[in-house]
Amino acid sequence: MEYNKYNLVFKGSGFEYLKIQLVNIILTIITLGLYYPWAKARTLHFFYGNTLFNNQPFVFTGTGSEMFKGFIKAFLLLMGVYAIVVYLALNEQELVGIVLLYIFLVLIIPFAIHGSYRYRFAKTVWSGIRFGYMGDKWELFFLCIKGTILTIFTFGIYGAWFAMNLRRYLLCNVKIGDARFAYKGVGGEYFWLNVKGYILTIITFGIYFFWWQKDLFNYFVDNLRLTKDDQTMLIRSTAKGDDFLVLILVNLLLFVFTLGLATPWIIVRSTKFIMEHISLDGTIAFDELRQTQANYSDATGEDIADFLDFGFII
Amino acid sequence: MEQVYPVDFFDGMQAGAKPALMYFNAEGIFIQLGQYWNKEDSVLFYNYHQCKTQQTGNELFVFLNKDATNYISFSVNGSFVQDLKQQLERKDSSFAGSLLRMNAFTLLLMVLLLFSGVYWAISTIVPWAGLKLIKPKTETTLGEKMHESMMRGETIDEKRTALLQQFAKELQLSKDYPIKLTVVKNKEVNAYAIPGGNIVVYTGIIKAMKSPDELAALLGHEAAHINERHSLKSILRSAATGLLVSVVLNDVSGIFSIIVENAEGLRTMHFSRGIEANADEEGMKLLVKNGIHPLAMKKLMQRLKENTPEIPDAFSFMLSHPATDERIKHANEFAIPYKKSSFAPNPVLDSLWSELK
Repeated sequence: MEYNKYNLVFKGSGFEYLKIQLVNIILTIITLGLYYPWAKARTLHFFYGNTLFNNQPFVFTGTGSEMFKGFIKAFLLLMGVYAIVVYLALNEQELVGIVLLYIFLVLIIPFAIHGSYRYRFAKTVWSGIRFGYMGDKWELFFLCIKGTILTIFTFGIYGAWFAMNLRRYLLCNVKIGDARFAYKGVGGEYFWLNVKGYILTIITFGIYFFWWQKDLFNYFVDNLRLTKDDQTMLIRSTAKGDDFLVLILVNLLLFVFTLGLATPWIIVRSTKFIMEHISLDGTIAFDELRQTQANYSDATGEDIADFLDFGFII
Repeated sequence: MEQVYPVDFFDGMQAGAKPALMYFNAEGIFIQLGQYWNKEDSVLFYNYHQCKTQQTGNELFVFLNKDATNYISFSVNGSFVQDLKQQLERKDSSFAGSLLRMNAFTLLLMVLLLFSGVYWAISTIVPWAGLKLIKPKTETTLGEKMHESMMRGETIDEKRTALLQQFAKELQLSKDYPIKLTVVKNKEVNAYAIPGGNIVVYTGIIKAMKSPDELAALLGHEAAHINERHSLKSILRSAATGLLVSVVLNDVSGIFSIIVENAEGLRTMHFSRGIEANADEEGMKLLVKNGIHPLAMKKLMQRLKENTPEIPDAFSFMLSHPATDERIKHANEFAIPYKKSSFAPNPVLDSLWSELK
């Protein structure tokens, strides 16, 4: 078995991204928002296509029209729910309406995450090999319900365990071809990491914040690995606290002094930072990855997640 | 037979690149695995219309199917690359394609234009639709509720309320709204209008005034606020811009929204000055209509100016009615055409006035 080391590379430019954003904004405004799925597809193509691993780019093969179908379904579903809530509120049943809305959101979120993971990974291709998400929606559903209830009853403390259980479940079910990801993070460590970060940030008047961010990033990356048969790839972060300090401060200055116009550059440099501080080393021969994952084109979950504004959770 | 070129081929079954030979013509791309072309071996054919290209650094990737599982890659410096690119890049004739070919500055200008267009549209349409949808009757019902809750902590001067109501009855103040007056026992020099028809007058302001026409001017001004639906207009206005800010700037939070909010604050102030000027003018028209000299408005304002304490407290009348001098000047200008006309005294108003005092 051969031992290899790899890095991720991001080659996108801020200027190119600015143009993409401007075109997306123009088209989204003149179509009164209907263009949004195509705009999102264009943005994803940009970020995927400019990310290289072992000299091969990632490809996002999802399309605007697939996501538009999901967009319409998600829109109708959520409008229906909001209509019921508004109807109840108008008939002086505000409390019932709000309780119903929260229950609905808690119930729908696991399905939205599931759908979004299935779609997003099935549409992610590297070196001709598809990614895939193998999780079961009911397992995820019960994990989320249990997590939500315990988090409420422990006044948020269980949140750390919930977040790690969720992340572990999701990432352990992601595959690329016949290689599988694994995540080893656990709630206890994550909880103390945050307690430490919180207290030290206060004691140091905020300076430790950057090291806290580094700890969180490293806790995510360093606990990830990829396995294929008896071969393993360890994923490591090379980011240091002062790297985060420079990144965040420069981003802040760029934003303030350009009144936000530099946002595309900020996003591009942050992406570059993240990609280029992740390295993989181990014995998997990536040339031997085999295609095993099926295609999947229903984007409803992806779109519900979008509407609820929680993006792509990891 | 065309020339063949060596490329890296990805077959979508296994990740690694496989050496292959490629040639292309007007129909599409042909690929055969291996280093040497063999006429007997099978050839893969890919139609151009499924293909997509991407250049990253010095490498050109041609994805051969929709799934992007089959693709070839080669250096952009290859001799054949220009010819192949021409075959592949049937110009993207969609609107998005032509936008992407424009320069960033033009695009930025277009975005700014569109933003201002949307801003204008929403800040015009929402108030317009709101004014159409909300009928004076609804306004009166809501105004009654507001009045009720506002009067809860106040002491009402019942006798003066009845007298002032009679005073207002002698004047034609509104066609659409039932004007209802309330006199509140309070030393402050203040009066205000509630949408839908209620006018609240403090005993302090009645004490400060010296003649019945000043009182008529005050009622004219407040009634104009009601007739012109000023409160509703400014509520709708801020609702519209609030909507806009939350929709457009949802993801450009922070500094942008702070700037917009401040700009909005300035505009609102400007708008409220406009409202006061408008109420003065409409009030003076009401005075003329009721046979009272419009200069009464000027007198009222001078009276208010006299009664403003050196350091105005936060809720003083003057604070919500800024730039008094400007308003006095405006009242003067309005009164010019009426300089020579004479207005007969109104005995009923005079006697009610003396009772009120």
